[in-house]
Amino acid sequence: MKSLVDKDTRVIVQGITGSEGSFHTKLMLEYGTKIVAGVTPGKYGHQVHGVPVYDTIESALKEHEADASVVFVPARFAYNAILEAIYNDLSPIVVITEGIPTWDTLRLVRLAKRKGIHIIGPNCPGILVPNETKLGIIPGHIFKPGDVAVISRSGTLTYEIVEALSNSGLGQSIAIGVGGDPIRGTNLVEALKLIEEHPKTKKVVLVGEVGGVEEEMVAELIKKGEITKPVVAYIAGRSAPPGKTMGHSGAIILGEAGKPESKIRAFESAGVPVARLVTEIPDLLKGI
Amino acid sequence: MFLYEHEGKMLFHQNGISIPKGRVVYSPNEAINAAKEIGFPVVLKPQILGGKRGKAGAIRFANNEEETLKIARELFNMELYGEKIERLLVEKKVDIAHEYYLSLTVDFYSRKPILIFSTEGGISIEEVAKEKPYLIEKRYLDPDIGLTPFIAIGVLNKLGISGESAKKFVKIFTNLWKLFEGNDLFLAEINPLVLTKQGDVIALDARVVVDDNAQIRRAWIGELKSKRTGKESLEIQAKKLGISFVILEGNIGVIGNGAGLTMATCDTILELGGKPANFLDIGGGAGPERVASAIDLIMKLGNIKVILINIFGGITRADNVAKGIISAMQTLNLKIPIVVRLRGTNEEIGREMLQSVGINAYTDMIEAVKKAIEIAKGGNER
Repeated sequence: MKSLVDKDTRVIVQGITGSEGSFHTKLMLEYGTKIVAGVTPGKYGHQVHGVPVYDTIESALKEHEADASVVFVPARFAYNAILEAIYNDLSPIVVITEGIPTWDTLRLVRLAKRKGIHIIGPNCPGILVPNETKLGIIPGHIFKPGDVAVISRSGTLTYEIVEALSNSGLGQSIAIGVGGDPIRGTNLVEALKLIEEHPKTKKVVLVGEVGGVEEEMVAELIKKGEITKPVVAYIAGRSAPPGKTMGHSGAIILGEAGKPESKIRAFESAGVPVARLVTEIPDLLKGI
Repeated sequence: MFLYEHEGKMLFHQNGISIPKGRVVYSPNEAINAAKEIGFPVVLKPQILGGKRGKAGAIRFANNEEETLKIARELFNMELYGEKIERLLVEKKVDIAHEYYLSLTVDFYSRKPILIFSTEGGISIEEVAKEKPYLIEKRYLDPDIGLTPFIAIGVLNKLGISGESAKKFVKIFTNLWKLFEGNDLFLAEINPLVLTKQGDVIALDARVVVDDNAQIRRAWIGELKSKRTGKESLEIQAKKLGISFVILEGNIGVIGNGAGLTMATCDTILELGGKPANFLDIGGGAGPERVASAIDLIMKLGNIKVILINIFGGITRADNVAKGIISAMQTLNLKIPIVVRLRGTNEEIGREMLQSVGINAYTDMIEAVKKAIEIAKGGNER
C-alpha cells in the first residue's frame, strides 16, 4: 500500500487556534510533520507557530496543497469540521476530539467510505511513523524506528507499550490509535488490513479492550489466514463490571457482547498470544 | 447510560408507544396511593439498572391495599444484583393475549442499526435464538432510509402477522425508530411487547441505552442524570469534573490517566492478587485541582487501604499531578498511604516535589502495583 501517512504527507490542522490544537501543532512541527495550514472559522490571517490560518479548508487549499487533516475542533462543532474535510477530499482525517455523538460518527464514516476516505478516530491519539511524521498527540520521544506496528484502542496504554518495546530493543514501524469511541472511522479489523499491506511492518501488537466485537473479528480473520503477519494481543478491562462505561464510551460490556474473556478466548483459539501484563509483550513478540 | 424502566417508558409514551397506566414510588405508603389511583390488580416492579428481575422473583402482583403494602415493604428491603431497591414502578396489570419482542440497536461493528422482532417475547432473546431461531427476524437497516412501514410490514408478514393487527405493530415499529434515531439511542428494547385481550399493543417493559456523548444536544439526558442517587450519583458527580469514575469492590484506590492505562492498572492489580476499589481516569491534561478531587472521590468510598496513582503523561504534566497529590494530602489530612508511579512530561520536577513530602515515586508500573498490593494486604507504609 501507499503508506497511510509518511514524511511527505501534507497536513491541515482543523481547530488550530484552540489550546490543544495550537499546543500539538507545535509538537507535530517539532517532530517533523509537514503542516501546511490551519483552519479555524473567523481566524483568517492569524498564524500559529508560523502556520497560516484560514477560515475554511477550501480557502486554505487555494494557497497550499494538502493531503490529510487533523481535527482538534470541540465536539459541538466537530461534525461540521469533519464534513468539511470529507467534502474537500482530505485523507486520512485524524479526529482527536472526544465526545462526538455516536450517531454523527456513524453518518460521517458512511459518507467517508463512499468517497474512499480514511477517518482515524474520533477520540484517538492519532498516527505516528517513527522519525517521519505524526498526526495527533502521540509523544514522539518514546519511539524507535523498527518493524513492529502498534494498533490500539487506547492512548496512554499505547505509550506504555511503546516504551516497553523501545526499552527491549524492539523498534516500531507505525502506531495507530484507532480511538475509544464505539464507532470509529477505522476499526481494529480495518487497521489490521492496512497493516497487512504495510511493507515496513513485520509484527503487530494489537491493544484491544472490553466492549464491541472487533477483537473477535480480528481473531476470525487470522484463523482464515487473511492476516498473515504475526500478532501479539493485549486486552484492557478484565476488571470491568458489566454495563459500565470504562472511560472510553466504547468500553462497555452490553449483555454477552464485549466481555474480555470472549476476546481472549478468540485470540487464543486463533493462535495469537495474549499478554496478561504489559511487560510480557516484548518477550511474546520475540517468540513469534 | 442505561435508563430505568420507568424513564424508558416515559420516552415511549412521549413518542406514541402505549404503556400501561403507572407511577413511580419511593416508599410503601406511596405505593398504596399509587395502586388505589391506578386501580387493582397492579404489578410492582423494582427499578434497577441491570439483572433479570423476573427470574429473581422480584416482579410481584397485588390485588388489594394490604397485599400492596406487604409486597412494597418486602421489595424496598431487597437488594437485587447488588443494587439497593430505591424506586418501584406500580402499574395496572394487563390482560395478555400474546407476548412479542422488538428492539432497535446500533451495531457498532457494521455501523448500522439493527431491527430484531420475534413472536416469542417475555423471555430473553438469546434463549429464543437458541431454541426457536425461526421465530426471529433480524434486519440491518440503512440509516438514511430508517425503519419505514414497508420494512416493518415485510418483517411482520414473514412471521405470520398481517391485516388489521399488523397495522398496530407497524405504528409501534415506526414510532420506535423515530424515538431511537431522534434521541441518540444505542438500544431501545421492548420485551415483552404485548397484544392485550382487548386488542391493544402495549410496551410492558423498556430497556433503553442512550449515548452519553449526546448530552451536548439532548438536555433530557442531563436531567435524568441529575436525579440519580447512590453509587451512580458519585460517578455522575465525577463526570462533571472531567473524571471517569467507576466503583468496583476492592480496597486499592486507583487513579490513572487515559482509559486504557487505567483499565490496565486495575487489571494488573487483579492479575497480581490485589483488588481495585475503583476505576478513575483523570482524563488528559488534568491540573492539580482535578487530581485532588480524584483523591477526594476515592476517599468517599470508605474501606480504602492505599491509593495507587499511575501516570504516563503526554498532555498530562507530572508536576501538576504531584501538586494535586500534595494539596489533597494537606487539605484532606490524608492518613492513607499513596503509591505513585510517574512517567512522562515534567517527570523529574514531579518526582522532586513528591520527595519533599516523603513519597518516592516509582518509574515502573509493575513495581508500583506490587507495592500497593503489599500495603493493602497489611504490609505497612508508603
